[in-house]
Amino acid sequence: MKRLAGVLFLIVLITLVVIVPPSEAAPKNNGKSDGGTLNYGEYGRPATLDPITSNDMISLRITELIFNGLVGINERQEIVPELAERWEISNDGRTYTFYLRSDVTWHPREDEELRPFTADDVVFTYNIMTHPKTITSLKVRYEFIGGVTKLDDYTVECKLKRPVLNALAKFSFKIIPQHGPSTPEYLTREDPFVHKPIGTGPYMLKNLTADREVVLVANENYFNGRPHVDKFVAKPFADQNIMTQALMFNAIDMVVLVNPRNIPELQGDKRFVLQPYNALSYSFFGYNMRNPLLADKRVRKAIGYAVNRQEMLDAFFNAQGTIISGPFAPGSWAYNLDVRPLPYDPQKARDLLQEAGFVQGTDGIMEQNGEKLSLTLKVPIEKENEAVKRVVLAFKSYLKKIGVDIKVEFKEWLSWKESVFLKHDYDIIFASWVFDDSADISSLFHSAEIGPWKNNFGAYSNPEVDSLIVESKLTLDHEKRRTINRKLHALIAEESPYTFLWTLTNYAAYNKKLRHVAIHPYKFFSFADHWFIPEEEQK
Amino acid sequence: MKRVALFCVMIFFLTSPSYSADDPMQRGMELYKKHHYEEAARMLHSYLSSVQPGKKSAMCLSLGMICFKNAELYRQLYQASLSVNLDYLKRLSAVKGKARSRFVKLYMGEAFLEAGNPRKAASCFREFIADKQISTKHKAIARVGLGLAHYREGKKQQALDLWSGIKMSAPEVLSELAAAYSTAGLTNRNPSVMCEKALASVKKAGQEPSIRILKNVIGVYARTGLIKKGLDLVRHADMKGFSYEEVLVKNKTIRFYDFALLNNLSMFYGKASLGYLKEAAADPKVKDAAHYYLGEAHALFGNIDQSIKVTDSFLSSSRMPRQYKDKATVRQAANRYQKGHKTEAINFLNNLSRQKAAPDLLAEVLFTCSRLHCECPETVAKAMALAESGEGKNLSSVNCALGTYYLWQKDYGKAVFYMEAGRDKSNKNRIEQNDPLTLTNLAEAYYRTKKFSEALEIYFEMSKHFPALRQIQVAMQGVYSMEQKSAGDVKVF
Repeated sequence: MKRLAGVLFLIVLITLVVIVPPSEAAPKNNGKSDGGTLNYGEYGRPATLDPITSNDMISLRITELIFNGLVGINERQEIVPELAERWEISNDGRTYTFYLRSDVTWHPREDEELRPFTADDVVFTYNIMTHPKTITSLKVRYEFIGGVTKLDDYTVECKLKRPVLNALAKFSFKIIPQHGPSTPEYLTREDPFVHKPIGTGPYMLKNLTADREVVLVANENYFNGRPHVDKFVAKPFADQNIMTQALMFNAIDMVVLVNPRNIPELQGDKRFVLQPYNALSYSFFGYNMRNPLLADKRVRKAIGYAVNRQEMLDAFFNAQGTIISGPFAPGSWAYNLDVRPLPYDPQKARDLLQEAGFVQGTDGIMEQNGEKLSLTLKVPIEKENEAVKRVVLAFKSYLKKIGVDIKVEFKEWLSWKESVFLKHDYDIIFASWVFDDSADISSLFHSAEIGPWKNNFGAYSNPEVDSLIVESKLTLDHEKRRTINRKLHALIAEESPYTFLWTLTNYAAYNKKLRHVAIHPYKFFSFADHWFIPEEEQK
Repeated sequence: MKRVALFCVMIFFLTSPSYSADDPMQRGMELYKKHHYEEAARMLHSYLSSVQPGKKSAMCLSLGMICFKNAELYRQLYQASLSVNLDYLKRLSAVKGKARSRFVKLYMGEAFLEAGNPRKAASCFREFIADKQISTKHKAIARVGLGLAHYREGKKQQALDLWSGIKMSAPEVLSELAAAYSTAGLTNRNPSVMCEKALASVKKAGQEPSIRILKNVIGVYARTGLIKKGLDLVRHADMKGFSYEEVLVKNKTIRFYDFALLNNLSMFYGKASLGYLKEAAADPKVKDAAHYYLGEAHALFGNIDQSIKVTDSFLSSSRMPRQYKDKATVRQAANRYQKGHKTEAINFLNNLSRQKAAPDLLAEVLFTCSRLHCECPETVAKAMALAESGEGKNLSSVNCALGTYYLWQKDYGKAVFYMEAGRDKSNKNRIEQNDPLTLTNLAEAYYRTKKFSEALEIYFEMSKHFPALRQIQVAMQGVYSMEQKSAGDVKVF
């Protein structure tokens, strides 16, 4: 019996790979000043402020301040505890047991008592995230989770359908409170919670001002210690140049993304720090394949050959970026270095259009069966800065040379998102994607991701791409995943659902009064609770 | 850096008949200023045979400088490649099971050999050779490597016996053996003739030489001084090619690269630079300038006595500008350090920093200390104070030097901080505006702090001019893909 007990004990030991990282619950008594306000410039207003329905960078930055995940990822690419203070992973990699902190409370709503964060909230978040009525791009990312079960108030067990690469890191998704949304089963963009969320993070949403500013205040009860800066205010700017000017004239303290043309101006100014951060991002013209004219690959490729991307990059962005060839950023591990960007070749563009059955009409516009090749390009108005305007006008002009008529429509950010992601009412868009380190393009190009508020807004569908994406998700082999991504890169470059443009230099700029600034290249504010402003420099 | 180029240009104008804007020399110097060394060297070399006699020595000086900078850069890239590739191969070799790589052992053996660990290299080669599924050709290549490992361990006869039993019918094997003979100094085996045979055999088959053959031939040409032939070969070669692609299971292929390629390119350009500079030094009009760069080149390739001699000659000249004399003085101190007079050299450098706080001089002292792996806290303190005093291009050299110093000290946070301060932010990764040596150091610091994408972006831009560094990119992507931890998120912007 004793022997059996010993064997069982050993099995338990072997079965559980126990990781017990230290907890960081102590308040920040680190001698750094508390107080002050950080006004930062954003290029628009967030559509929603919750981590489930939002799909833009402005919202992501704010949700990073308001919410926490079970785990976090630090600057050294290590997984660190957040809402879970420790975890266990079964030997087969299918069961993750998280032991939650018992000292975490939700941001209080007005006239409400503090409520504790518990296992129920984790189960609730998973259920709401996977509910069919919840419109979120998270669903595809978390389909590998079979179920989340509460073991007790502070323990949850997550069963995976299959082991996946870097599974633990994926539990960094943000947890929302069970008492948050008005509907207990699902979350929509109409729910008041998405505009007035509460979380467990270092900052609490105070209000949205009439000027569309988002005001966040320090969470005095933050489990990792009160953050140093009292208040964060996100100020939207329609024009990046004006945002930089606002920084220069001390109207704001930080710009999250400096317009490349403004870098020389800021570089010489001793009041500011220019900090690079490498978001894996790129810009593109995306096509709506629901338009039969654009469903023809030859037309999409013709547009790709017709635009002189290097000329645009040099002229409009001071050459501060890199022309790309496919669906990954050059700084990504998945970028296929063998695929060359499409060259500028207007003659080849004309040839392709002719091959696709287009003939030039009397007005110079190409026609196919009497239908003119006239397309609508929709651009969010927040991108209506000088450089983007020039890109759009240059695009129109390049395409005119090959007989394609482009009608440009600038739309307000939220209305643009609705046109693109919900109504799919456009032919071409100009936009950018920003990726975290995973370089996961599944939600962009898999055919299952076609639908309202999904990322495959152009309805691109290719069984070979689908199959490679699925295979990439299923494999536990890093090199296999790399090979598949190289293939995907080459295939998607050839298929041209987008005309891939460039990746730009990313710099944040901030006033030197702000200290201890570390920036997460994707989420930006992950380490903001440690930032501080010395007392003498607080306004 | 630009000042050095201007110095050289000034010498041309003072010493040579006349140069128009479209003159090859002028264009070569423009390319040099942009750090397009390969292009500059190729362009000037193609004009060398037709240049007017009065201009030849100036052109040789120019070619010498360009080749030296290229050699220095390839040396740095080689070291970066070795370190990243060893990380990558170790991770690959940890994979077991059906989809494991067989070839990882061959390339680990080669990497250990390059890293100066013949014992570990031999063990990897033996394991590879013992694998029954490996082709005869690749086993022969591994045997050449094993022989070299033996040779480096002092078991010379064992090496010779092993090599003598290798069948050399495959041009890759023939060139591999030629390179081994050349490395071992066995010139009586005629390695350059063996290389010619390998190249001829490939040509006869209507093929282009593989990257392994190129790597070997460039190494042999470098050691035998066949510069013209080497430049012709390099001009037509695709330097980004992989050495072997291993197909394991469906949708899993691994590409392996030849690490020695970068070292051989460094040796080759180093040898070329010495040749050109010596030729230039024969002309009294450019002798002093040639001696300045010859001193640098000899020091880089470990010929300290020669470096001392020519640097002394440069310092004794009354015509040369002060700032170059200062730099040459720092080099002489470094030479003394390497000859064993360490305390004297360090005291001298400290005194120099104390007396003169010119940014370029402090930077030179810091670069030198980093290269020699010797601490210089006094200079560091002075440089930091200077760097703190403000921003601007004139302090770029100090910031970059501080960053390099901290990189050597493995304080990667500080290394990034200072090199970022010295980087031209308007042209972040462009080699035209940033010294590629500093960019390589910065990429190393980012790699060590696991900011892989920053490092990869630097190499992405650099590879447009130096395609041979593809081997670093691919290995770094491999490490990144294994190390990355993220939620798989993507957002529209």
